[in-house]
Amino acid sequence: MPGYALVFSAREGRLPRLLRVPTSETTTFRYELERRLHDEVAVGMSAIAAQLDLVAVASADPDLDDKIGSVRATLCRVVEHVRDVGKSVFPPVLGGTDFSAALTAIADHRDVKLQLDLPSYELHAQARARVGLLVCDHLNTLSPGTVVRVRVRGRRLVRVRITENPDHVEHKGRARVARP
Amino acid sequence: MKVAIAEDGALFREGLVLLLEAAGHEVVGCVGDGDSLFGIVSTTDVDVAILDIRMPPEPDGGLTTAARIRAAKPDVGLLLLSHYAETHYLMKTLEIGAERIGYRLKERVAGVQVLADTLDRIAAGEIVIEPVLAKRLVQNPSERTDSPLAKLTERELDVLRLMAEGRSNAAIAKELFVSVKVVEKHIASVFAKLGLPADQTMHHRRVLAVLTYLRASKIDG
Repeated sequence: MPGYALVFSAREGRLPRLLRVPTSETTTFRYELERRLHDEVAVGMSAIAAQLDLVAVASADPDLDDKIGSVRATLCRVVEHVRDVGKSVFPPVLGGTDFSAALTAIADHRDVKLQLDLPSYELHAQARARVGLLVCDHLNTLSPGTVVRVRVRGRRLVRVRITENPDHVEHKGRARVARP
Repeated sequence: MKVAIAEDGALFREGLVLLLEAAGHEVVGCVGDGDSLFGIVSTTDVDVAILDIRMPPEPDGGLTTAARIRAAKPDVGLLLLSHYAETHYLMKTLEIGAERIGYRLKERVAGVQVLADTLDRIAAGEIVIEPVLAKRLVQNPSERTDSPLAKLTERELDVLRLMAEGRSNAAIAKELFVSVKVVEKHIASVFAKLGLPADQTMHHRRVLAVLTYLRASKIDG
């Protein structure tokens, strides 16, 4: 059964805003897209960087060395962009089993301070991926330095509650993810 | 140096072999998954094993294989490669070992000189951390003025960043064009300002203390 998910979020004085947790199909698609970006684009570009360095090493021309060095630096910057896109599509750390560490790493990249309240039991892989993407997509909308509390509960139905700047209660969210 | 490689991307794997040979190293094994690499390391004399973090067995075969190799052959150096500069992967790497180990980005290490330098440092027993990651860790989160990192001078931040890369005092001195004595003075000041234990005589313990502190400061703010 395909899962469904809803996120209700509200700012003070506003009606709840409806967000959607990625479906199982979307989650799989995003995972495969990121893998292709990694395995086919980024790895291929790194291989080109290696080949360029070998050309530079074999060359006795300092001008050519400089030009190749410049091209390699550009290539590294492009790989950095590909990496950023890949992380937004599907953070690679979500593929592991340490859910807490994965969410912390995602928050780390956004320079967001995360307060996690996870269940003592392990979520199954699909729920981890879907809840992880929900949190990731939400963190991507926040300003650096924001404090966010994420609370996850439930076994058959996984409920996620996201609260921004908890001390000031500026923003709250709650999600329900049906187990596939 | 005898090097074994496990990388599931054929093109990059071939590039690594050429880089290693150009650097004068001997490639004793070159495979596409962690289990095959473990077989090579178990039966062949290997100085350093190079592992892609994301390779079979999925999802992070490089990390699980590195842990198996470290348990079975603690003298073999380990260089873990990734396309992602993740503190998550860094901490997993340091859980495997705090000596003769490195974590670097693929495109950054894809050069004869930088690869040779990385392998030399690992073979010498050092921890080698991707400079991009060390730099990010040292950056003051959100420019917070209440962060202990805000108390450090610009030069002290440079020293902290190089410590987080796993650099020795001599290497830091060379990088910053100052004497080792000056570096020691900066390090003492950094440790005092951050409240880290002063007795960090063992190099790898010092790197671990610095990385653990920086990681915690990123999480807790």
